[in-house]
Amino acid sequence: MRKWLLAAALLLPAAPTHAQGAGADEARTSVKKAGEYLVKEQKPDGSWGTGAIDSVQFVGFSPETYYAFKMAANGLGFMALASLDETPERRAVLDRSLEWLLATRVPKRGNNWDIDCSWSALWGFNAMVAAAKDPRYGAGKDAAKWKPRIEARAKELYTLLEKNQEPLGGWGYYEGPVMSHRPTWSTSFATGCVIPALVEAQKLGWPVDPKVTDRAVEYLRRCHLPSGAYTYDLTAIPWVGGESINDVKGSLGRIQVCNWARRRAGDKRVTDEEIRKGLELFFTEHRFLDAARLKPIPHEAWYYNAAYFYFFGHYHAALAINELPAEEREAWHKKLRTELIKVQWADGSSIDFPNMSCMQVAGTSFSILAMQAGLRPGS
Amino acid sequence: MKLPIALLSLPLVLATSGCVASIGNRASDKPGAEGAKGGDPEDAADKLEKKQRELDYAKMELDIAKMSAAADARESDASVQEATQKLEVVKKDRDNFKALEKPSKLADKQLDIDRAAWRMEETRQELAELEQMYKKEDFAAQTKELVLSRGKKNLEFAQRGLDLAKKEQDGLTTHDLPKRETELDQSVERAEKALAEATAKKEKGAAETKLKLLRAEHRVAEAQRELDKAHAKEKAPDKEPKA
Repeated sequence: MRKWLLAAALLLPAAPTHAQGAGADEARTSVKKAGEYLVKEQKPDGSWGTGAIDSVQFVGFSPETYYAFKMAANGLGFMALASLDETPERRAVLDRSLEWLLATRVPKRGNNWDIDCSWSALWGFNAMVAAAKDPRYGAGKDAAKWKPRIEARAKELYTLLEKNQEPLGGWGYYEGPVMSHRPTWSTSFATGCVIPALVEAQKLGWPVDPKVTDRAVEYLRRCHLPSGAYTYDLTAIPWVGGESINDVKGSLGRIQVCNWARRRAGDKRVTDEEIRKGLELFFTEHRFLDAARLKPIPHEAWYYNAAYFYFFGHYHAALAINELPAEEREAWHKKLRTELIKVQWADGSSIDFPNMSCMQVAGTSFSILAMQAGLRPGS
Repeated sequence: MKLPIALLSLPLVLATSGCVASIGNRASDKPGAEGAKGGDPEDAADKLEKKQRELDYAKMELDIAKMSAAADARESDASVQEATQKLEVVKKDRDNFKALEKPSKLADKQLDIDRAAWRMEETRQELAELEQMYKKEDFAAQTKELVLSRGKKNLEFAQRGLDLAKKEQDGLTTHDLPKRETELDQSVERAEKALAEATAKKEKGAAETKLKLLRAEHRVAEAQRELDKAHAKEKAPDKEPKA
């Protein structure tokens, strides 16, 4: 009898070893709601967010920083909305968003240590590259109207990037150990998020110094650890071991953006296998990002994960997935969508770092962009 | 400590005895008293009373001497006890210093040196890495110089920190700890001497007290004898009343 039961059990179809994840339809529903949120929340001047201090966590920062965050979030808002299918309503919102990005002043360094203006340069420049390549703006029939203004704004932001690139090649947002005109501290993920835009800018024929990009790529290469993780910042002797932020569990978001950035810059050392390894680590250790999400104090979670690693990491994981062969992408995107949809709020927005209006815009935009990367690769 | 109380109570005792004596005097003043029997009865009675007073005084002095002896004994006991306790305390201090404090201070200073040495090694490694990292950079010369000059200064400070820690260890082993050990040894020696002195004083005090008591007892016995003799003389046959 036992033998028969065993044989019957062996003949039964095996249960799936892991969840299949969210499909394209669920992603479209989520993206639609998120898009509606952005449309609804845009202010009459075309911007999102307050540009004011929303959170006590940022007491003591330069007032310029709140404005810098707003501009960065607006860059992402534009990119997200531009990635969606066009409707008259969305188009009007998108036009207003670009108009605001082109007309608003470029943030400046806040004080001796606070250079959060970097964020507006990083994401503003990304947005300008997206606008320049968009057939509705810089690359279509209305190019004459938009292109000069896009390029002029891109040049201003690139100037800020070039000015604030630290000698080792990265971009940061606080200053130290030396307080100097040119900053001396940077992070791998901030550096990685702009490299592909710099590569694209060169293709667009913009006057971008190739050395700036090369230095940034080299910076990321130096941050790469044998474990597959990327150090938070480039130090002479990296902190590893124990509950270090440089452990894989503290590097989940950085791995994706750095692999993607190096790959887009043509670094052959970032193979498909390396990208797969990074994505496997991302999903295997995902609980550390879950635990950190919505924590109000930066880096208070295990392995110094901060709440705002969540959507930044997922967006770049989506971009890293698209570096893999086409036939294996959807399986990864399904897993990724599950992690995005599960945290979407009822009003369609997404937020990881609480109490900041610009983070709600950024989180929602990252979520849209991540899912659109799976629905419309190349968008 | 109790001696002053005994001395304070002395006037009271004397005053009381004075009252008794004066009552006795007044009784002998009465006409027809017993002393009026002899040839010079008043003189004989006076002598008897005087002998009686001397006996009373001698007894009181004996009582006082006993109280003083008790007070002196308590004081010398307390002095010996105090000296013994002081000796125990300083001996414990010295033993603790030798067994625990001295080795701990030496180990602590060695730890400082090890830390300073390791900090210097870390700083040296970091500077070497910084120099290597910045060697390739072809721009931001001024910032590069700032970063490297800080690294060099850090290494210099680490070296100075190590040198200082070594000097402090030298001072500790050649001066501070031996000085402290000598001081503690001397404290023990002083406390031992103080105990010996207190013990000797106690013995001397006991002998002196014994002598004082003996003298006081002898004075009482002497006075008693004198009084008895006076009484006997008063009752002798040749003392018949005259017609």
